[in-house]
Amino acid sequence: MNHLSRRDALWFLAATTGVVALNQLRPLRSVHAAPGTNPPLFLWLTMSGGWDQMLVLDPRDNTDLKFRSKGEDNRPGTADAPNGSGIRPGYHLIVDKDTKAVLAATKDTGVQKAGNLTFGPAVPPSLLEHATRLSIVRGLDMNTVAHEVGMRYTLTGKFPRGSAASGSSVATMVASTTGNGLLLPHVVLGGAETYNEGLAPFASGTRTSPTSLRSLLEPLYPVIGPENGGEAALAEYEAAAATCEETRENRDMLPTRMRQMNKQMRDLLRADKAAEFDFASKTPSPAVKDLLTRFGIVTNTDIAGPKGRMAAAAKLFESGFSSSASVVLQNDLDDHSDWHEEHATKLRAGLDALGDLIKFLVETKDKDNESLWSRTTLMLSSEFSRTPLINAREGRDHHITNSVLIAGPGIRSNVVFGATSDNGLQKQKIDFATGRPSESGSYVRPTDVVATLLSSMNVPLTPIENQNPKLLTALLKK
Amino acid sequence: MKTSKQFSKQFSKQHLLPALCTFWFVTAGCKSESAPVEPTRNPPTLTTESVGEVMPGNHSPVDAPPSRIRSRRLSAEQWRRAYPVVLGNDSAGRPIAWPNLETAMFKDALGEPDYLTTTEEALEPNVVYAKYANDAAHHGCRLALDADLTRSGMARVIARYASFEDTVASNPAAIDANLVYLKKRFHGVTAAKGDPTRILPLQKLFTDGAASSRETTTAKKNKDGWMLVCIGLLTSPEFNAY
Repeated sequence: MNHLSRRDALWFLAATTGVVALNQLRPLRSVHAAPGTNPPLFLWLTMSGGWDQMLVLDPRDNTDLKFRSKGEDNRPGTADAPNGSGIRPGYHLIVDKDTKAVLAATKDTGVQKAGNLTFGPAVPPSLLEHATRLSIVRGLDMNTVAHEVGMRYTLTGKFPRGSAASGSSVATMVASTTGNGLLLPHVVLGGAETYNEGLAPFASGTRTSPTSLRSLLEPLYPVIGPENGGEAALAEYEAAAATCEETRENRDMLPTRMRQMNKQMRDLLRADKAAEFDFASKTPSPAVKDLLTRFGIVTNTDIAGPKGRMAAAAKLFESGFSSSASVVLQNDLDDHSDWHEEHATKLRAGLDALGDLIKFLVETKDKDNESLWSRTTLMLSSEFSRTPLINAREGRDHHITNSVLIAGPGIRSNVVFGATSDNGLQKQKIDFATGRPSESGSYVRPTDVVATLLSSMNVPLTPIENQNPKLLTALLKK
Repeated sequence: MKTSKQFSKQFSKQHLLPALCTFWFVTAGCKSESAPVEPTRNPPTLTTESVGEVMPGNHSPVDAPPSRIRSRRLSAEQWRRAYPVVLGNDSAGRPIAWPNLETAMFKDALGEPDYLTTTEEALEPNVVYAKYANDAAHHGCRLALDADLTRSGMARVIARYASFEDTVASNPAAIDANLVYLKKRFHGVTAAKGDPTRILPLQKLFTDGAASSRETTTAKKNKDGWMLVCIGLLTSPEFNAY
């Protein structure tokens, strides 16, 4: 009997490894994209700069003595908190009139209760209205206080390599299984980053903005020939077989992806829908006018800001152009100084636009007479949070423990999962089956949140498998 | 098979003395170099000889680059610099560029960092890039062809080896020669006349462009044909990836 030599064994090992690796690189098998059906929708949202989670998803009672300075005189800059709690909500220091109104309405606690959830004073009524459709994950271990690293961690569900993103955007992963055949499967708004590492080319994010959407949907210069005859000839040329040079350069499929993008682009132009996205028009169509009204858009600044971004996402979902969106909901939250002046205002503006979007999705029916919301999964976070104490410059610095707002048809709503401690807003070990703190539990990571959302949508976890994701089972519908 | 111990033992026996000698000579040589050296007063002269006009890239085939090198999409800056080189000057003598590339909206859409909110270049090929590459090509090619109409022969950039009256039916050799020239100018690829994968698709594009033109004269129809060829070359992955 011939024995297997070491060389044979190594060849066998290399070959099987190669097969497995190639399998991993293959675009994910579509689990949703049956032609003609309404695809699941996915929204990845971030508040850029690092938000104060006590103002939004993880509040503390502002009247509780353990969170007040000794002989609280309400002066900002009193960095030290008493009684060893290491937490100072400081809601009463905020100058914003809406926050003051919330304090008045909540007997100065600043904690707003809606359903089973509690929110901070920067959450507007337009979002509170939908609280029972949402869930909160608290005590998220970001493992970083660097802006890019934290943002890319939540963006991909994989901890970055150094500061470089690792893997694909979550919205790309979703689009690769839900967006095949759509004109703009994954749209990227507000300057969000987008990555595609080995997934189907069509799922790559399309970076645009509410103001530039129109320029994306119509030719900027006259085309040749009546009825786009010239464009049809170009499309035919672009679809022709690859030449030798292109094949040589096609090691990582870049030319193939470019050809696919060219085809998508010509399909977009042929759809002739630019007028429906002309938000800045002086004479908008009735449909655009209605959309602008629903999102409270009046000025060009509104169009470029959170309202415009959410309106654009709404329209792209409604029109069936997109099934996935990555959006920077609000910018410029990195308030190391003068936190009390604008931080709450900016958070409220972003969350107000999100509330309007949820309302739009709830009220808008698809062709099967189901609401768009019934197939929308969303994730809202920030790259990290802000320190629970106020610094000497009346600001808050970077804090490693974070929270995230999630929702989806496969996600249990009206649930709080996880917690932070009453001592320095520290992360806590959580029992993933109950969502409650437990010494035998684990810390919750962005990877776990992303895995839970993907799993709830039946999107394969293959791209993040090497992060050992653990599902937040208490949040998954049975 | 020799073990490392055996090898080092053998090495020390066989090579230690020569190695020490070599080291001694080198060291001695180093010492002697420290002596002052007379500076050269008469620098060497260079004699050049004209070999006539040389076509760029006209060399024998080279091996494919190592497979570890990844293909990349053109950055906005590369695009900005490539356009005037490929398309030349407009009829007023200004280098042809896409003015939109200088606005913040388009810079952002094409992934150019603003160094305020982002510091990294986004080079993912996406629909936005394809769309604006198409727009820029329409803009640039029209300027180049308008300029060609005011020039003749080798001063032209697009229709250099064919006149605007030439068609595939009336002068196939001129059309073919011009397509071979354009393929080299835009993609740096030397193609043979009538090459089925590199030239014939472009020839069809020229014919289709002229046929679908709204224009009424042959020259203007053919101008539209060359316009499509120019756009097709500029939106091709062979121009946009490297």
